[in-house]
Amino acid sequence: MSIPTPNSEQELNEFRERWKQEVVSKQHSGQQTNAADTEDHHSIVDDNTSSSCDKALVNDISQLTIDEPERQSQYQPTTAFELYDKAVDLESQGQLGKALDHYRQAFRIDSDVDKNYHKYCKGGSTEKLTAKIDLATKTDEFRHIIPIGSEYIQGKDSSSHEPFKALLEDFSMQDLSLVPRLDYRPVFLAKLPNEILVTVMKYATLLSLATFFELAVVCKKFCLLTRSPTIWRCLCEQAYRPPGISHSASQRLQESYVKENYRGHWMKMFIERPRLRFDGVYISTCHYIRPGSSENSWNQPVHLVTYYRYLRFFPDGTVVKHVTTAEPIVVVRRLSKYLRKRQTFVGTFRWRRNDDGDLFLQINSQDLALPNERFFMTLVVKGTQRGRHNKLVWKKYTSVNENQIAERQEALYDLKLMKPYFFSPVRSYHKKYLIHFVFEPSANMVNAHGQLLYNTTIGFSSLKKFPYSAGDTMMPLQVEFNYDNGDPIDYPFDRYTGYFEIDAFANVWTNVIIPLSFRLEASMTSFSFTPTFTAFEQHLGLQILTGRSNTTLGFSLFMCLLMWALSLVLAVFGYQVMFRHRPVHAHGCMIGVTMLFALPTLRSAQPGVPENTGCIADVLGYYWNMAIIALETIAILGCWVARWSPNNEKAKGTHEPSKTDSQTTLHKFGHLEHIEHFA
Amino acid sequence: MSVRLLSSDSEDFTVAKEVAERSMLIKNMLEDVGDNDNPIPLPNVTAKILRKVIEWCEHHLGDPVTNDENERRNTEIDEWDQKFMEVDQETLFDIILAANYLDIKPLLDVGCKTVANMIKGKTAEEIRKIFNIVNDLTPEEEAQIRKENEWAEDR
Repeated sequence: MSIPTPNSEQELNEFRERWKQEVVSKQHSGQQTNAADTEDHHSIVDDNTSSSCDKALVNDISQLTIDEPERQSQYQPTTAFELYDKAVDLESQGQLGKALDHYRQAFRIDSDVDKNYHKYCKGGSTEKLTAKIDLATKTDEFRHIIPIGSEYIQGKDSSSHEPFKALLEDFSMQDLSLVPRLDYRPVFLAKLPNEILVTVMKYATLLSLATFFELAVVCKKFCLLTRSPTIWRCLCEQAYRPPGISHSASQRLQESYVKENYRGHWMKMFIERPRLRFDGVYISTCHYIRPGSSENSWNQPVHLVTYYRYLRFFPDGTVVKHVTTAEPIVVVRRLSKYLRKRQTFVGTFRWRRNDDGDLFLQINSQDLALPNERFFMTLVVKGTQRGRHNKLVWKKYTSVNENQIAERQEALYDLKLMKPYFFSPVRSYHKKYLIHFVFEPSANMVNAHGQLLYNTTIGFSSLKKFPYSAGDTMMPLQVEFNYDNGDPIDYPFDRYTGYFEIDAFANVWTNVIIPLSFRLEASMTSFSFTPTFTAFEQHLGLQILTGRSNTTLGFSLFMCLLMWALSLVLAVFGYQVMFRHRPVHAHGCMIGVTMLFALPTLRSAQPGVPENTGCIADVLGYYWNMAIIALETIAILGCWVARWSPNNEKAKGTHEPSKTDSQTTLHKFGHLEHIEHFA
Repeated sequence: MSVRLLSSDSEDFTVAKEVAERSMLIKNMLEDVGDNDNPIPLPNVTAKILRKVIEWCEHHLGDPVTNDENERRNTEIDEWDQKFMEVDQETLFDIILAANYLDIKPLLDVGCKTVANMIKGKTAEEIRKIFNIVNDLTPEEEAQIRKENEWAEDR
């Protein structure tokens, strides 16, 4: 194309004119030429660089086209991507303000970042998700997640269930004996009969539902066993037990429920029937925009305020609601029935059925600061993409002033600002304590043989009831309670509080309240217990505060002190070596290295210290001293290495009389001179 | 009052009657046979395991017998039992089998809970490693099962 023919020359000239006009008009309207256009023009222009007038334009254009990739390479497109990724993460955690910042930055760098991100997500989303799950299971930390995306939808029965059923049937036909991975090691598990394996799976699933998910894909046999109704029956009986009902009563209740609604299919009931989870909190992240003020009129700043609504349910039918701007990581561990903060509501919840037969949740709560006001919430349990029954959607929110109850004046709240609640599991809620009760009934309740005269019931927090019938002796009881808060991360200053209420009734003619007196004896190595009693009209409340005993506390702090002493001694040694030129030998260098191993041992000598590092005691002593000792060791080793020279090595020979060959004696003389010289 | 037990490798154990009666099997047997000096043969339990089981029964002698299902259902294991169950896999499973055979429900539960704790929060691959078993599922089958159970995936 270097020598164009005259005919085409003319055509090209015409085209050039048209094109010039176009460029000019585009510049006027201030529109950006899009990348595809410029590239087309560029290729045409390349072919006729003869005209001088065009040359300038060509330069312009080529600058334009080069500009784009240059900018990208300068900022690295991965950064835009990372910013976007970070923003998505922040958004999913409800921090809209920060997320917005990141989005803005990402788009400033690359306007197509969203498309790229979604393309990437389609291809590699599974990997990313599994990585996140790993993170969640590995660290015991609390992670607040709000799923964005559509609700969980069960696949159509006809399409998803049939092939699966066929698969299960196929499995049950095959030989399912467990095959060892390593031939030289037998499979001990194969000894256990199926019903015991099922019991194991039952406990594992009770511990966490996610374990079931993993168990099912271990092997064919496990997959079949996880479908066993025993497991799901047990889970159902636990999940759907209404508060204040004995276990056997709940069993009967669930049995009739499963027969009526799910044709006796326990697993189906567990999957489909709405339930609440008690091992975590439901968090609703809300935002509102507050107009800010500014000095000038052309700039109106706006504040985006994020606040959280927390809901935590308890198996005994109570619920705590808390509204605050504090972030979940701070709040979740403190959220208990005894939280005394502004905007804390305590109440009860119950399941109701609406006219269409759908279950919904009704919460009746009261703000501690507003004793006359009662709040009523109506919520529906929904699922999200990451699981079922982990979302609570608002249906209605009202409040009634108790003085006006007769007038039925309800204040209806606007639900526009209310975002749905999402469930986040919290692991620290699982700490428990066990109390062994021994009863000594007073003389007017028992006969000479210690047998009860009346039917008597002992109740705990109206959650568990233990009946004794007349003629029984009062056998001791063991009852387990949950600690409401406390965290081992605060070791050795960690404190756990638990609260329960105890009441006793005797059935003489009607139910008669039995007055109770109480004595608590508690002992556990390295712990101290402080009980507080509160007497109510009908029951006794007992709050137990468990903390480390003074001895433990003292010893733990003493250990910290010891660590400091060790590292300081080493620091002095290091100082002498470095600045005072104290000679070091091989064993001198080893002191530091040995201490690095000694420190973890000292740390674990603290009574009852959590296995994972990170508690307060670690911050007080362990981390610092590890760092100091490591640094000193490096310094000492460094000096040792740096000060070595062949001459010194020979000098050492003089101190070792065991070497007697002629060569050393020669050196010996040589070095005596050397030493004298130094002196 | 004591009872003589004979392990499968014909070792003779003499234990207090209350201790032996933690086992429903032995309790029923004693009720059927009445007082008798002959040792009770336990052909399914070796001396090593029987010793462990007796140790457990002796420690838990004073425990209140709770028939409340709920009591047995809690997943916690008390400290002594945790120590007691710190044995190799083979012994652990043998104890569970012995508890099953001798019909000692609380010990069986402790054993099952211990195994459950071993696999809690582990991935499928980790579970396979723990028990030394091979994955006999094809990738398609595995994907199908995961899809079916996706509701339980707890993130």
